[in-house]
Amino acid sequence: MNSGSVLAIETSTRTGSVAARFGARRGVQQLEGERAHAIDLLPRIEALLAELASDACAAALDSIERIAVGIGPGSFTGVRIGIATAQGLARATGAALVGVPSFAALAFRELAVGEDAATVFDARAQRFYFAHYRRTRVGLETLAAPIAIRAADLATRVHAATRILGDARVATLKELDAADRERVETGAIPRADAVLDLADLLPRDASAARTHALEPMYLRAFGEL
Amino acid sequence: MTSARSELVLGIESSCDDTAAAVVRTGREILSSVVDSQIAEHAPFGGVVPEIAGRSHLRAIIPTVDRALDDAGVSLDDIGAIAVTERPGLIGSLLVGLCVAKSLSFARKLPLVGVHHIEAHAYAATMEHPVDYPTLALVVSGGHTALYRMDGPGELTKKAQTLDDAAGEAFDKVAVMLGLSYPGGPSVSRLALEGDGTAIRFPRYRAKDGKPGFSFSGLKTAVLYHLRGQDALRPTPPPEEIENKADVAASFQEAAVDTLVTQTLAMAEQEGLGTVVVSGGVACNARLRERMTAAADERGMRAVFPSPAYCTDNAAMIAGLGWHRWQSGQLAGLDLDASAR
Repeated sequence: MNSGSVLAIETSTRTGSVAARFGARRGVQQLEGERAHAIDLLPRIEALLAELASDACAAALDSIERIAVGIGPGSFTGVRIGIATAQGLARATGAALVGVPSFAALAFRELAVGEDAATVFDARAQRFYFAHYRRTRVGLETLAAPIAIRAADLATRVHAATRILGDARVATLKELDAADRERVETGAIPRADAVLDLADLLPRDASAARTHALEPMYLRAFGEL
Repeated sequence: MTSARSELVLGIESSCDDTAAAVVRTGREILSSVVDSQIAEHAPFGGVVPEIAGRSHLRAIIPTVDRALDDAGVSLDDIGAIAVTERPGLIGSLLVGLCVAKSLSFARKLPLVGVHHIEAHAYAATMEHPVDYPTLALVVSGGHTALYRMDGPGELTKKAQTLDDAAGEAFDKVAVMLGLSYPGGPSVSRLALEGDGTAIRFPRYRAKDGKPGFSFSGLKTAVLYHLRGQDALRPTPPPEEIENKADVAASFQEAAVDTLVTQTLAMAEQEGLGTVVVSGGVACNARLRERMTAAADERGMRAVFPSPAYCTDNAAMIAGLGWHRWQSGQLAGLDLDASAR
């Protein structure tokens, strides 16, 4: 199952990245800054393919069987750039498209087997994205799927988690218990190599959905923005 | 690459509230033109909501491209180059079309061309009616109202633009005052058919220091004050209490059209240009088409309009102008960015 060629894209935060695997060779490259996602994404994919593939870049791209993309939650525009690019590549190459929650990729990469963590990031407009995962021996268990909630509704949810993966804003939230604020681990973000790993764990038929049917995890209708 | 393949351009447009794709041969022959409109999604808000537009584009873009290829009876294998709107427009909307265009171009090793939306609108009028250059172009829509000297396909020099609102924006705002549906252009002009365009004398923009130009903000305010009985402090009456709605619609339209015709033809005379091409959503307006054509005729000039389907946003004009850009070697790289302006 882990032998096929995979390309992964993660652009839900300011620090986007791309990853790929061809047979036994793997690589990851980081994008350059937030504004640059639309500019930088395809040049980075091109560079990554050139680095990993023994054949010409075009042949490498054609050999990709699955394209995995982080669907958020996170920057709406960032996620749309990632998905639109993944859709175009999938449409042009016939590769299957796999959507992976960016928060799941974050938890999967940061947690040891048996550990659980709340992932909490500022969603602006007085909301926070929250999810809760446990790393298992075979993968990742979703204890609470991603939602967008007010700070006041975070306290009890966060308190129940063994670890808290968040951003600097979360670490200063008055609504959290002082002890929980201090437990917030900042700095970790979703990365494309973890998106790739999680995609490997998804059953093949999960990517059978039609190319365009992949929606970002907005978690908020327009009226709630 | 076969010669037949090298003549087909796939155009992609997502600058505002329409997701569009088209296949055009040699910049002129439209094999397909698909427009997926978001009007119904924005109508409750009385205007385009950028975040809703971005979400809708992402859902629609791949099916729209597929439909354009299907309608043209071709596949991606037959396409010679990809043209995409890079500017101006809503950034979150532009990026969706841009990312899909770039990834198709990258994966299929196809030349990529970035196209300016306004230049493509002006070009649209010349796809159906060949013109001799130089010519004057009026691009008039919900987002733009400007005059350009056009020295060739996509070779535009801006000569004048609205000082405030775009003409289409004024139609939208008057439609809201009169309780008509969004977008305002079609709904106001439909009601205007039942009214008297001379009933109310709304102001026309007058060129300052002899330099033709446009302004629609004063006209919009004049309509508002008329509805308030010329008392600015009175509340605006609810639409159902407005009595002569059709006359207001017709008189407003007459003033807006008058301004567009007078200023455009004055600029054509100043520049010594005998042909005026008119495009953009407001170019669908039947009264504008009628008055501009007649007034140009009186002056020994020619007014050219695209068919209504190619006045509003579409990708055929993007593919069409993209062909010229491609043929003259103006290609974009994978780092092509979108720009709001």
